[in-house]
Amino acid sequence: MTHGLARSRLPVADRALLNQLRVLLSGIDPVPPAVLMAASSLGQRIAPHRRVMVNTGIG
Amino acid sequence: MEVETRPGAAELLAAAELGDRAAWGELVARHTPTVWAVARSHRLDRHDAADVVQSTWLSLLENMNRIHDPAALAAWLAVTARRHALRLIAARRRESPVDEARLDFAEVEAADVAVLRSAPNAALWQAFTQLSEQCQRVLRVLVHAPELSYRQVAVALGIPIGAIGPTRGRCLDRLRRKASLCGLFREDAR
Repeated sequence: MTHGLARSRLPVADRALLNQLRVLLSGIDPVPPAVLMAASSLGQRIAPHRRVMVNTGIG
Repeated sequence: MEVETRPGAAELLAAAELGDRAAWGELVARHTPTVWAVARSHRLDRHDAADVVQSTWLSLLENMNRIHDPAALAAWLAVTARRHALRLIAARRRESPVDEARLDFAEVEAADVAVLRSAPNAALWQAFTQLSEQCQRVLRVLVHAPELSYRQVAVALGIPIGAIGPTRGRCLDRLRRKASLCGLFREDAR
């Protein structure tokens, strides 16, 4: 049981209630766009390092 | 029946590790609501929650090649977010031992939000805010991270594993009852 998904085995009505709550909480307490952008921009730190590795391998 | 066609966490993680920024961006878009929910469920204000989100993704960046089970990425992020949240809370306590003002964030910040102009949403929000803190924490994480197991939700929230199932059921029942009182559902609608 403890390995099951926390939202599994829920009655349809409860799942609908959770979905409604998800929409509500996303509207009331959304992730700020600036937070998403900042996290997304961290990806720029990966690329140069990996590209060097790939280029080195080819050369 | 709908077939899941979007790439899984393992594929995205592998691509991101090779420098695919779009894959990284997709991971961020997909999982940040969970990280945010975990941070907020630790009663952090939006500014501190933003710090936790950034620290959590930075941790992934530094540990990408050590993720042994990419399928469990959501759980790894949730647990990492909890660690960062606890660290921040400890630091805040050292700075200001009596800082209870930040606890009422939900009521204050929800004061004028578009989604609450709908009567059913307003009723559901009113019911949600009347739940115990533990119920609010569990439901906040559950709605954003349906892929987490009981064990993972328990670890992310610091709640005993055995309590998650009963808490979930009890909290949903209470939410339904309170929402009914606010006119959202009929009690016999289940």
